[in-house]
Amino acid sequence: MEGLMVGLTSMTWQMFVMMIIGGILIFLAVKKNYEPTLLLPIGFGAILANIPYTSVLDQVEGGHVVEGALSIFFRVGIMTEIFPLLIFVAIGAMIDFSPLFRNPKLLLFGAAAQFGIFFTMILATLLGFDIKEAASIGVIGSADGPTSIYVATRFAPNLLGPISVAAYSYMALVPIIQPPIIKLLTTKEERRMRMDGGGNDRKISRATLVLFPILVTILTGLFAPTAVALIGFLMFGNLIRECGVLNKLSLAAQNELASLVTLLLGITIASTMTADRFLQVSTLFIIGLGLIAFMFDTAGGVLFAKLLNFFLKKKVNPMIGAAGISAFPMSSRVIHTMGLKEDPTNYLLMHAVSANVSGQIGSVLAGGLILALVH
Amino acid sequence: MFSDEIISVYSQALDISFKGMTALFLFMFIFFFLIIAIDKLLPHKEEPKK
Repeated sequence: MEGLMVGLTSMTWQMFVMMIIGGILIFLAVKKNYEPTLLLPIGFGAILANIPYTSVLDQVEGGHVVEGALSIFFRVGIMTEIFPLLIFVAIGAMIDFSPLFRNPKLLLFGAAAQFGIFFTMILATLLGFDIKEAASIGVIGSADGPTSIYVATRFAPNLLGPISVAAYSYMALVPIIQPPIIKLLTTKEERRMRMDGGGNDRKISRATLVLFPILVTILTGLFAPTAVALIGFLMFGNLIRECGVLNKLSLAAQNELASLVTLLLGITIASTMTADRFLQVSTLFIIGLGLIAFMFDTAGGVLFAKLLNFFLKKKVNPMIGAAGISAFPMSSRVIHTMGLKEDPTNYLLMHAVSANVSGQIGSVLAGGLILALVH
Repeated sequence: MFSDEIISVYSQALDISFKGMTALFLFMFIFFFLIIAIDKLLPHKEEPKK
C-alpha cells in the first residue's frame, strides 16, 4: 500500500504549480487556438514530467538508471538537433518564394526585423545572463520556434523549456503585440500609403525557383558554414517543393512530417519543464525578454522602412517592415488587416507576404550567424 | 552599478550584434542580387500549347 502512495506523498507544491502551467498551456491551445500543435503537447508534457517519479523521465531505481521515454526522445531528437532540422524541411516545403521574387527589395526587411534578437541579447547580458544564454534568449525574437530550439540546444539546454514556451506563445500573440507598436511608430497617412503592384501577377520560371534554394545554401555555406544545417534543411524542403517531380514527398513533408515531428518536438521539450528547472526567476526574465524581442523586431522593421523611404522613388508602406519577422503568415495578415482598417481599398497582402517570406530566411540566417559569432 | 564581468559580456554582445546585423544585411543584399540575376538569366517563358 505504501508503494502506491509514494507518488502522492512525494508531490510538492512546485510540481502542482507546473501542472497548473501545463493546464494553462492546454487551455490556451484548445480554447484560444494559440499555436495548438505545439502548446498542447508542451502543456500535456509538462504535466507528465511533473508527476513524482514519472516513468517518462529517467529515474534511478536500485542504483540503476531506468530510461524514460521522453528522456530518450530528448537525447535522440533534441540534443542531436534532428527534430528542429526535420521541422525545417517541412517549413521549407511550405514556403512559396515567388512573391519575394516579384519584389526582391523587400528582402531587406527580413534583415531589419531581426533587430529585436540582438537588442534583446544585449539586454539579457545586463540582467546577468552569460553570452550563450543571452544569445539563446535573443533568438526568441527570430519568431521561429525551431530556430530558437536549435540555438538553445547548442548554447543553453538548461533554458530550453522557457525559451520554447516564450517563442511559441509570442508567435501566437503576434496579432496582439504588433499593432500597438506599428501605430506608435507610424502616422495615419503612412499607414494609408499605397504601394504599386510590384509585378504581383508576373510568373516566375521553374528554373529560378529550383536554383534559388541551391544557390542560397551554397552562398550561405561559403560565408557562414555553421548556418548550413539551418538554412540547408530549410532550402532542401523548398527544393522538394519546387522541383516539380517530388509532389508526393513535398506534400508528405508539409503534412505528415510536419505534424509528427511537431508533436514529438512539443512533448519532448516539455520533458525539460520540471519544477526544479522551470520555476526560477530566470524563467520570468526569459518570458519578459521574449516579449521585448518581438516588440523590437517590429520596431526595427517599421523604422527601417521609414528610413528606406528617404531613398526610394516608389515608397514602401512602413507597416510592411513589421512583416519582416518570421511569424508566417500571421504577421502578413496583421499588416493587411491594419491597412484595410485605415483604407478599405488598400490591399497590402502580397507585399506583406513578400516581407514575411524574407523574414523566414532572415530568422534562420540570424540563428546561424549567432551560432557562428558567439563563442 | 554593473560588475566588470557583466560589462565585459555586454561589450561582447554589442560587438556580436553589430557584426550580426551587418552580416544579415550583407547576405540579404547578396540574395537580392542573386534573385535579380537568375530572374534575368532565366525568365519565365510560356510553354507552347500542344
